[in-house]
Amino acid sequence: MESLFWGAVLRFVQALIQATPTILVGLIVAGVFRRLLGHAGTRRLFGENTWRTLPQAWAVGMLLPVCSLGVIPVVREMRRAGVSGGAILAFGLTAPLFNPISVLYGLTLADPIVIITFSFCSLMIVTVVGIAWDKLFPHTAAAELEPPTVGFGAKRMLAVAVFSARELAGPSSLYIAAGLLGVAILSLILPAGYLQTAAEHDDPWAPLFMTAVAVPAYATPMAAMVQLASMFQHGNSVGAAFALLVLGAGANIGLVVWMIRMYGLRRSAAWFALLIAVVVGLAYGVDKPLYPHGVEPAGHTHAFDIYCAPFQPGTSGAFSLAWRMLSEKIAPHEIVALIVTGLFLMAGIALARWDRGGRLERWLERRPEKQPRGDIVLPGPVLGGIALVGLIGVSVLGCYIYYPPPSEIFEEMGIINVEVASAASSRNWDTALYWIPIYDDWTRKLQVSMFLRGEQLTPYRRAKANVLRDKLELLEHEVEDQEVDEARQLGIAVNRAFLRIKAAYSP
Amino acid sequence: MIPTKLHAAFRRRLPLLASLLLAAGCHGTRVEESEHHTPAHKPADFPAAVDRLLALHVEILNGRPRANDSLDVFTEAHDVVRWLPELAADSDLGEEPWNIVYATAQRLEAILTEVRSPHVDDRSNAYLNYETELGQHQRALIEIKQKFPAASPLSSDQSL
Repeated sequence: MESLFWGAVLRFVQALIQATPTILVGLIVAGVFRRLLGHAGTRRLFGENTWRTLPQAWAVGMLLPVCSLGVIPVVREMRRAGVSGGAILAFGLTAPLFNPISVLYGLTLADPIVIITFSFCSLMIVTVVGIAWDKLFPHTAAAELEPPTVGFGAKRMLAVAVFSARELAGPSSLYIAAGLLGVAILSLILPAGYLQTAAEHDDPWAPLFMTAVAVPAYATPMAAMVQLASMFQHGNSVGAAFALLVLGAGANIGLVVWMIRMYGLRRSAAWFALLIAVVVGLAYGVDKPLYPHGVEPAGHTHAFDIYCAPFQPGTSGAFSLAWRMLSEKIAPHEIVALIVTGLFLMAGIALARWDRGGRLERWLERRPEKQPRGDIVLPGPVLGGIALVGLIGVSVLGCYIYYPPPSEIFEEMGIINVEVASAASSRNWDTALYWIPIYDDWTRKLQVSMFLRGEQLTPYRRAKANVLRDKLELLEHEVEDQEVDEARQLGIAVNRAFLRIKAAYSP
Repeated sequence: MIPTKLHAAFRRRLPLLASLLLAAGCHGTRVEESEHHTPAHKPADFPAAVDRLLALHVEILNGRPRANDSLDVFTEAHDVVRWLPELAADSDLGEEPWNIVYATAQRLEAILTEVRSPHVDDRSNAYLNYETELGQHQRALIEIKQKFPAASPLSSDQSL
């Protein structure tokens, strides 16, 4: 029982930590919609409930870096702004699927056409399901009163922060918690490693089964893309990969609960049934045509271990193990995001406790009697537009930071290569298991970095990267089994594959 | 055969699907770590793959049928051809000869896919229709294989 409980807690906290940066982005986007764009501006951004609404919602969703939990405050604000139900659901479903960084990562899949096809399929889903919603349930848009505009200068920025803080201390947190609870419950249902053979290419049930698992699961866009890459490397079912992307990254229990509360059980059930039907249909449609060429099915995958219990039943010291796993895996940007989100939450709770009447907002909305001299006052929607374009710009800039130049990547890979090879030959199993996934990740970053900087990613170079990843995969298994000789030999093989990839990627 | 397989796969999943729907726990079983399986007929390295491909070619020409339970000769040839680029990449072979291996493997795979398609009655005859072209591709692969001792002094990793 102890291992079960701490395992579920671990999965809950892991998902929370991963989600925090994108939840923060979601809160800021919702704040920009509310305080800078206003309701009219938000409706304009989403096509004024005309025929442009759905493709526009899809396009905005593709560009903004939010996850399916971070999208909750955004869809709540869209609802208040009077955007149509079809557009809200289209945005809510597609925004978490892709962002510029994850799309680029998708280029390291067996064939880049996969990511293009998946994007196109997501457009099809939102169009079909969005149109169906607006036809079946018209007039679901219910705009609240236009919020008063905010005063000039720093007040505008402060107003966005205040809104985000209040939102976080409000129902959004409950929906987010419900989404995270889905992950914890899934880990209670699925024993450790249960999904390792759940998505085999020759298993006709794989897409359907993955659909059932993916709804309560939660994945950030990047995590979903990493899982997709792993599935393609292992020759898993492409249909299952698609279902996992759309429903694992796109939906979660929190979003479903919000939907039921807003639109009622009957409408939500009908919409969800249609969504599942379209996703499953497309999953089976792409399953065979997109299967990667020349990939040998590995017979299993570790991509979904994160959705299962982290510990075997009866594992002793589960709490200390969970703590160690958390402290080892947490990234610096996640720590920053956790601190900032914590500050927002505290500010939100303080405001809810001591400023229920909204005195702070009234002060923020008070405008100076006279126009400031020598100062150009830009309208709120212009600033809102700049903020959103800026957010997209920052995420594009983030791509160049996340995928540094190949020379820097090779420096990192060189260090990690030594760690892995020496750990494998000196039986330092924990060190090897820690570095192998990081090493694998760098090989993919290398490929994206080359692409970003206009270098050619020839089949030869792709093949060299695949060979290195395959060796790492084999090594991981030997290390897990603590096979001394095999691990040592594969450590040498990994080192040789590294020297070859370095030679192949040199100009 | 296939319906039985489908049925078995569904039955295997049914308890889990039900438990997902009912949100009930089922933590009694211990799931074993899955093995990463390499097919038994996968050659160790590129020279071995070329040798195996030539042996399979001779076997097809001889036309002696294999035992029912063993892998179909065309399926094996198809698999070996698919592995050629990967095995060649797992060596010190340069980009130019590797590109030849890659292009050759793609063409051979297309031929074998055609030969193995369900509408072909006599696979051996269909295969022999490509004999001249197959000979050219085999010569290209042998030529590259001969570079191997010089190109890859340590041979590939499987032979470590």
